Amino acid sequence: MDTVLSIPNTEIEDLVVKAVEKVFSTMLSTEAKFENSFELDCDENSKKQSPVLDTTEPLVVSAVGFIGAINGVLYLHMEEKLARKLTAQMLDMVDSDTMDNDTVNDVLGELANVIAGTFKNQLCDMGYNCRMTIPSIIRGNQFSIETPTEVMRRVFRFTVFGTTFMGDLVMKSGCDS
Amino acid sequence: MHVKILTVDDSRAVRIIIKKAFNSYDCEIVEAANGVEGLAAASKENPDIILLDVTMPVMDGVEMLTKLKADPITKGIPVIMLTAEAGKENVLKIAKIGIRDYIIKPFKGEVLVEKVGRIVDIRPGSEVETKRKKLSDECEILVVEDKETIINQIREGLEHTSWKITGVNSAGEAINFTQFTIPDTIIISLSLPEEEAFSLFRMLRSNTKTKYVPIFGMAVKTAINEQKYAQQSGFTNIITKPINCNELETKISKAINLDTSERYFTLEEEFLVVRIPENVQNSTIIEIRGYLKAQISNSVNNGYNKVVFEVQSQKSVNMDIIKLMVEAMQICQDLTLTYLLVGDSKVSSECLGFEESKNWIFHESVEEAKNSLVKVAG
Repeated sequence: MDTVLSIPNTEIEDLVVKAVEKVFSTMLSTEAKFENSFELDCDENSKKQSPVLDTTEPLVVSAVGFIGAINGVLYLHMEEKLARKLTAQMLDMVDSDTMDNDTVNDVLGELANVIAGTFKNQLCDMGYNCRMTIPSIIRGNQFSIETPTEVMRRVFRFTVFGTTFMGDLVMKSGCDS
Repeated sequence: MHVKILTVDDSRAVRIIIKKAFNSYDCEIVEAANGVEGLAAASKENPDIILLDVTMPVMDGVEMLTKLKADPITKGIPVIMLTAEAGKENVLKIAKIGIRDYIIKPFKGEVLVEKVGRIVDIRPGSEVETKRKKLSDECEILVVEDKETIINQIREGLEHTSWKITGVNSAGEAINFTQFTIPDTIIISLSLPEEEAFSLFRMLRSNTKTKYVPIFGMAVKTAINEQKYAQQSGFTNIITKPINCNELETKISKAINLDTSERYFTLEEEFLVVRIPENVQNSTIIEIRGYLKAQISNSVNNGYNKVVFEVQSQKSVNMDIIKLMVEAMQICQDLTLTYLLVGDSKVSSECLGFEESKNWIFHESVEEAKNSLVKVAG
């Protein structure tokens, strides 16, 4: 399947990768290296999906939605250890072990917010006007996020500080389109 | 000039990043986590500039901006919007309500400092004089205006101060003057011929001696475009003609971070007397509140343990005055100080109308209050 939208997958990939790279270099002064991307099937048969990030470590997933001509959610999946490291990097903190969860949630929420914003702004420039939602955080071990059928879902693998994290984009045409 | 920046953002991380960006500058950062807190902080703290996020819970940035601009006390505070949403429609919407600039997230600290620096004078902390000038200290005010009447109006209006007002008629004369004397504030008429005001402004800003001197633009009230252009160019503040000299005095005092506490706090015999002036404005209440704790603590440190609060004649006693008094009394109670209130019969009867002040007892004069305390002690 190309996509349920009229935007080619290659273009979506380009927008997501550019947004992640720009935000990491500006806000964290570090490089997020894009590895690859793949589509996740969202039909009834494959609804029970395994976690996007294959690990037994505690996970932190930050999510920001956008609604309008296109509806969707951008998730960032990463191990808690990496989330703490990124928080320390953004706030110039030395010890990432002693910071509280609220601080990590706040930084990861803002990171997802700005990445989703940068991505969404590109969509707006292409004529798909949308608005963003307030970020939210999911924490836990080995959980999966299920999506309705008839949506486009694409996962993007990145590496930062030698550790993998995933961008997980779920989109479908919105009511304003 | 000490600059107060209010940052309104639901993300603590962003507020920390903003704080860090201004770490090495002579700035005070006040934080608020949403529009409701932001409005309260704006009227309480009277910041020089507000950095406002758009998407926030409880009250978003657009609603806060609308309310801010509808309030005569806060409408003049310049606002820079910070947003992750750069859509043209969104930017146009907020621009219509009245913002000075906007920054799209993600942003670098340097960009933020540069944009704020275009609107208010921020300077590195290392370059700041540690000693604040007091109201009674001499200040040099340079007025660049080709109409002698206006210079005289300013001179007469500020006659009661200890400020020295020097008037010059052209940009050339102003440049000559600043070669020998660095003024505390420069007021430039925006209607000087051939846009001289703006070229003079640029020259003064590029000179290391006058780089951080507050520069006010002066224009006729109706010359909106001229005023807007001056604001965009980075003038510290705008004075409109006809000139309100009280307002001018307040703006200059603020721009040069003048210690005006002696206007409200005096040590008399063994008493600290705190005076709330006649028909007090909200901006003055904010000013007094800023000194309150330090002045009372300082008087205790110097051996004064009795305080008299004099509320001078008011058109009407409002909640801001009551709140100020409650705060002042609380400080006295915390420091176990004896305090008394002075106010006329109108102030006294109006205080009966508020839950917080219905039991307050006022003396008719400062002398009477002092005597009553002396009698008790005797």
